[in-house]
Amino acid sequence: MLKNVSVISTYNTDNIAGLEKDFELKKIRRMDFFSKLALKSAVNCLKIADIRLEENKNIGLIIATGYGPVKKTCDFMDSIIDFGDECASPNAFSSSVHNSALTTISILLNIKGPSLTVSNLDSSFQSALAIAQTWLSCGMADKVLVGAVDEIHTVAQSIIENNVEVFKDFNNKNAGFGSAFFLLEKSDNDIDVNLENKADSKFYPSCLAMELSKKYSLILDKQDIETICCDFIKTELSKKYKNVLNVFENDGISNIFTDVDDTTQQEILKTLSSIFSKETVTVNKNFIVDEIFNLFKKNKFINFLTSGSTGISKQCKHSQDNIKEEVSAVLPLFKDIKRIVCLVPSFHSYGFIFGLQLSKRLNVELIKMPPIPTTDWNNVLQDNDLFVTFPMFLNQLVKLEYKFTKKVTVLTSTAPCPKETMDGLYDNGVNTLIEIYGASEAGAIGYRNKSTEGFKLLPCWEPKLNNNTMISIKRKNSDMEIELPDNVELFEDNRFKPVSRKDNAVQVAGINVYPNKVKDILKAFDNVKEVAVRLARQDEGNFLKAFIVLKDSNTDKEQFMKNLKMYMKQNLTAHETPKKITLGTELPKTQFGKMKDWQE
Amino acid sequence: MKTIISSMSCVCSLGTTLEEISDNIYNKVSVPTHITTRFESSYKNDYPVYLVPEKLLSQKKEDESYGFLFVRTCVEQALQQAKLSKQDLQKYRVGIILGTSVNASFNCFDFYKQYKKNEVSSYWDLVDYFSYSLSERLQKYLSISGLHATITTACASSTDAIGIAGQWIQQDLCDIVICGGTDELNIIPYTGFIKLLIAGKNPCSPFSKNRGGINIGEGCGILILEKEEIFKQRNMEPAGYVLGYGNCCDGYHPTTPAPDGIGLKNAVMHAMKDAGIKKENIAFINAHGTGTHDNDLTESKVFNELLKDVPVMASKSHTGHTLGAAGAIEAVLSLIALNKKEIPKASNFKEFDEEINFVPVLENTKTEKHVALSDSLAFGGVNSVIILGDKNA
Repeated sequence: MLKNVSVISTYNTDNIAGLEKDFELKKIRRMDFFSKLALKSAVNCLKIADIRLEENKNIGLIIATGYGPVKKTCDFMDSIIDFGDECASPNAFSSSVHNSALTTISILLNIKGPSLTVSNLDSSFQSALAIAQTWLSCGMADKVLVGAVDEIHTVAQSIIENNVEVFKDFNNKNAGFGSAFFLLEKSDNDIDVNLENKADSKFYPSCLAMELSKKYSLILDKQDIETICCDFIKTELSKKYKNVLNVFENDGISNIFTDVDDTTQQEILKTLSSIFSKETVTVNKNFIVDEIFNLFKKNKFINFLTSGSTGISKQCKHSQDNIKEEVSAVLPLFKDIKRIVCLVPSFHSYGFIFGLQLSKRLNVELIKMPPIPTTDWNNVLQDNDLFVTFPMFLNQLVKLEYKFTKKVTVLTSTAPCPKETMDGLYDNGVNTLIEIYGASEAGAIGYRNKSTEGFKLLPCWEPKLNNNTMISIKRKNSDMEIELPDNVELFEDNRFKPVSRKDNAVQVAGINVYPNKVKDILKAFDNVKEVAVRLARQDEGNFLKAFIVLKDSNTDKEQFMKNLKMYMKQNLTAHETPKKITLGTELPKTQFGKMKDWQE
Repeated sequence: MKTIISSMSCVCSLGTTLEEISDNIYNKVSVPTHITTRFESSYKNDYPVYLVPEKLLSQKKEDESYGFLFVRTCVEQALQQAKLSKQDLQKYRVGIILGTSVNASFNCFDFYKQYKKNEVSSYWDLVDYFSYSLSERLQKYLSISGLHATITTACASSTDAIGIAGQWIQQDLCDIVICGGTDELNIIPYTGFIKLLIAGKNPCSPFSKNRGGINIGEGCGILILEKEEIFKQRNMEPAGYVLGYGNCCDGYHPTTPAPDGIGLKNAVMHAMKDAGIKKENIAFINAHGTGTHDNDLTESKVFNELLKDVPVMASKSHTGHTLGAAGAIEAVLSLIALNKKEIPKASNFKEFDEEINFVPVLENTKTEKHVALSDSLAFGGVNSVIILGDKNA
């Protein structure tokens, strides 16, 4: 336990992409991979904490490295062995010292406080943390930037791969590279460094740093926020454009848009949209992204709106820790995935988890595409792609008899995927199909691969039962408890099956609507005696239909319908509005008195 | 910070015991030698080095490096001087913090040569390198566990090790800390400094006009720091005190100190503030004094500005540049001087340099003051300073 220290920010990476955006090329061009790895995490860690590089603050710097810049040490030895010591490279020598990363970071980030490199193999990072704690405690620095960096030890790696007997105890430990940095400050808090799963061979020997960084890292960076805003704007520009930023818990920001008139709002959004689509960074964009990012850093919560499918947009608050847990729970389903092609916008909980977050955790490219069913997806998709889709889109593909020629995993959620669609997809060449059962309040709950199977409850959930009925689910590592939207039957092996919706919602074009609510609204209209509302049959189309009995059968029906349409426009959403209305003298019922379907 | 140093020890070209070192530094002129056996180099006749006496080198065990031989020797001596047995250590929270350069690097040159030719005869070097860090190896040798670190901030490593050891005691993280640093002669830094054009062909002459640069050295310095209540139980005199520590970064250049000495200046001021001392209290500065143009110029700028007229001791004219061990060896030499109340002369000094504007102590010089400042500058622009007090400080 690290006492009286808290993490202001952390960042980790296993690549050096994007450094050129932060530094002039001439300053980093000749820098070796080891130093670049460290620099990337260090600069991003300070950025997250909003530490401006030009300000000379009393920041300490401690670098932990198990092996140091091995590649440069080998380069220097190579130059002696291959060409003789008279031709040895002075540049390779100066870059081969263990504090070469410290050099790079202190120069480029203008750090003038105390600085140090620690190198005692796989305990280097623990030692660095202890020294950081010491420096903060005695006031030697206001903040300490402490990080671990290591690159693959190529010599050890090749020896291990060649199964040299004497090295068998080292297993595959020496394979790994990456960096993980933390900005620490003095506080009343403690940091628990006793983490499980320390043996992350991908970053040996500094695996603890990586695990700790994952634990403390934010699930969103500014680039993600740009992506989310951009997705939202693109989706909403043509229809709803209010509350653009309400995907986050950020009332202050949304006021920027609600205090101005509609025309101005639309102009702002158009401007934003064009800005977000450009690569250049502008003051406006920075301001918005920074504001949202700061709010997220503070609250570490995300609100997913339920998009008004229930008639009223509902905010579902998700903590960062719960989201991390959810992504960890679904991760084993996607072991062989090399890329994600996502048709769902990032502001939607499904797109956020299975697009944005999953791509980061799997460290694979995320490709955003509009959900156009006529596109030749075989030109887009590659083997080992995860195709993040939804039932309406898949229905269309099946109807078009679209053949999948690549080995892709198709993911579907947001609404139940019909049996014929799932079967049709397998018939048309889909390698693996995963249907996610979830709810806005809970996120992903379970999954299945075939329409005949029950959903498998994700390992992050504990079921709460009443006989065989799953009443609610609770997160194992938090007090989050969710009442399920459906009546759900649980059977062996933690598999479950939704039997019926508790709220009697039906789906119109992927949106939940409530026939009872529509019925009540129609019944309140002048001269309406009785109403029945139900989902139209599949052969009729995907909409609601209504049957109305008038109080006065002599009413002018044409005028009534005209008035009713105006009334519905004012009181119902597009998805709620019945597309077919039948007038009659009595409601259609079976011989047993129960409501029945009707023909127009 | 006032932390008790209960004992100290050192091995370097001056000798392998405190008595031998003390005798040699005051009474003999130190001159470097040439490499004969340790490795092959085209430069071995041109660039001399300061080596640990053969009588100790010959005691190296097959399964240890020279660097660890030095540590083992020093720790045994220091524990004996501190009246602490290995069993005693089991009773306390004992920390270990050691600085090094060579002994943490992948410097298995002979192995690597064989590996490249696919002619590996023994994997011992490599297995050894992956098995224990320097601090862990000492833990294993002493059969202890607890807080430890191997500092690899190049030539400032062991100055930092001593400063942090003092902080660990002050903050009650440890009861006892074994601190210091070690480095052994190795082809990598030897060739590297030559290729960087900062190695000297003549004996190292810090702060002298036409100084030629660094002579690589080897050795180790160890200090045992203790909490007062533990030290008092043994009813003995301390070897001295760690009074202050400062470390500031230049953020300027990979291998050259900032010409304005900004990092060193800040580190000196921090250390003096930490120790609660003024310039007038300082008996002498044990300068980093590598004998390179840039290092000596930067130090002189800072000394002339902040510590004008404080005598400057130039240890590297006796020991060569022992890299990661330098700060610890110089701390031991400083404490010898403080307790003897006599600043040892520099060897090999030739001529006053107007740019430097002072000369180091050239004759053994008496002092009545109780405090010394020792600074170390390292690649990466790291500047570390410790303030040491004699046993009466």
